[in-house]
Amino acid sequence: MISRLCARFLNWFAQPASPVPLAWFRIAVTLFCLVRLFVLRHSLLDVYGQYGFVQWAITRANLYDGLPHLGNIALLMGHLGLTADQSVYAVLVVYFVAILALMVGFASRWSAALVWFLNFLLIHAAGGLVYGMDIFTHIALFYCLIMPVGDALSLDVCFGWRKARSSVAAGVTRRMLQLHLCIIYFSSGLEKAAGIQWWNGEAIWRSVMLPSFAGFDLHWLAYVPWLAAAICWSVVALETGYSFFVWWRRTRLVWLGMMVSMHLGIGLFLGMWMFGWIMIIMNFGAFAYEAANDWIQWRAAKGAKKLAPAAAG
Amino acid sequence: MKGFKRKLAAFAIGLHFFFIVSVASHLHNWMAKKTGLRVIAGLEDYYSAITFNNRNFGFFAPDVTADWNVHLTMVDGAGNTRPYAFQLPNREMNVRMYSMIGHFAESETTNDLFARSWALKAMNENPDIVEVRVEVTQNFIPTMQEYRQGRRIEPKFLYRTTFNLP
Repeated sequence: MISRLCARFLNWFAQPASPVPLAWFRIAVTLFCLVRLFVLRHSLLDVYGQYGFVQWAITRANLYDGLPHLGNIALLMGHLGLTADQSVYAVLVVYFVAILALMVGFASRWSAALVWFLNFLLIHAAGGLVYGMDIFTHIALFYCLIMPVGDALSLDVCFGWRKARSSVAAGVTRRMLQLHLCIIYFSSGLEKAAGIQWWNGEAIWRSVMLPSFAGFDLHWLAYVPWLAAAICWSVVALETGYSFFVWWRRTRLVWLGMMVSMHLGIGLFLGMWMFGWIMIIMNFGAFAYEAANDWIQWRAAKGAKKLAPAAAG
Repeated sequence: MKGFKRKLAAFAIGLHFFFIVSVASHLHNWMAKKTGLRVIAGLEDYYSAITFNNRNFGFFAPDVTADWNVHLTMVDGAGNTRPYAFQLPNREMNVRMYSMIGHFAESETTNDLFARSWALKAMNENPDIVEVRVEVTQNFIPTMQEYRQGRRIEPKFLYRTTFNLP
C-alpha cells in the first residue's frame, strides 16, 4: 500500500514537462527585477550603500560567519581604486547586465547563478530595509537557478546550446515551486488564524489605518466592523485553502483569480505593489500552465454544450 | 552514475522541503533549544540566510504591529537646530522604512545600532552638524470600537538618544 502510494507520488512528481512555462517565469522574474531597480533608482545608495539608512557595519554583523557581504566585494574593488559607493554601482551594473542576459536566455544557467548571487549580496547589504518582496524575489531567482529556464524562448536554444524539449527536470522543479507556494500560503494562513486580530477584523482595520501605508481614507470601516471581519476571514480562508483548492481542476481558476485579486488589493490599499506583483508572478509560474489548460477545456466544453442542442434541433 | 545523480537530487529536494516545513511548523525553534538537534537548526539558519527559502512566512501575523515615526534633529556648531528627513521618493521606500523601523524596534541593542546609523547618515550629509538627536514614536492605533468612541491615532514615545561629535 505504502509503496504503491510512493510510486504514485513519484509518478506525479517526476513527470516530464514542457519548459515553456518556466521560460515565461524566467522572463517575468527578470522583468520584475528590472522594475525593482527602476523603482529604487533614486535611493540605490540609501538602500545598498555603505552609509545608507542601515550601514554595512550593522548588516555585516548580522550576517552568518563565512557568508560573503557586499563590503567584501567593495574591499576587493578598492584594490582597483574604486570607492565603496563606486563598487556598489559597479555591482549594480553587473547585476543589470546579468538580468538582461537571463531575460533573453543567454547562457541561462550562468546568468541565473550570477543574478542570484548578486541579489544575495544586495539583499544582505540592504539588511534592515528588506521585506517580503525581497524575500520572494530571492526565492523566485533560486527557482530560476535550479529550473531549466533556458530550455525554451531563449538565445541558448537559438544558438543550439540547449534543446527545447520536455524534461523531468522541468516537471520536478515546477512541482517544487507549486509545493513551496502551498506551504508558504498554508503557514501564512495558519499564523494569521493564531491571532485574535484576524478573527475580529482588527487586522484589516489596523493595516489600512497605519499612517505608513494608508493610501485611502478608510476610517468608515470602524462603523462596519462586520465588513472588516469578513475581509479578515476571507484572507485566512484564501491562504489556508490555497493548498487544497489550487490542485482541484474545478476550483483552480477561481482560487488563482481570488489570490491575484488579494495581492492587487494589497497593492492598492497598502501601496505594496511590488510585493503584490512578485506574488502574482510566483502564482503564475507555479500554476498558470494548468490554469490555462483548465480554461481551454472549459471553453471547449462550453462550446460543445452550445453545439449539442443545435445539432439535436 | 545516473542513479547516483538521481539519489543526490532526491536527497537535496527532501532536505529543501524538510528545512521549509521545519521553519513553517516552528519545529526549528524546538530544535534550536535541544542540544543534540542544534546543529540541524544551525544548518537551517544558514540555508535560510543564503536562499531565503525557509523563512517564517507569517506576514502581518499573528498581529499587525503599529508603525513608527522617526524624528532626527540636527544641531550645528552655533547651536541652531534643523530637522533631518530621510529621502523617501515613493511608496516603495515607505514600505522599506516601515520594515527598517520594525527591525529597529526588535531590541535595545538594535535600537542603539540603528539610531547610530541614522545619526551618522545625517552627519555625513551635513558636515556642519555636531550633534544629532534621535526620537522614535510609535503610533497607537485605536480599535474599531475605540475609534467609534472618539479615540484617534496618537504617537507614543518609544526611544530617544543624542549623538555628539567628540
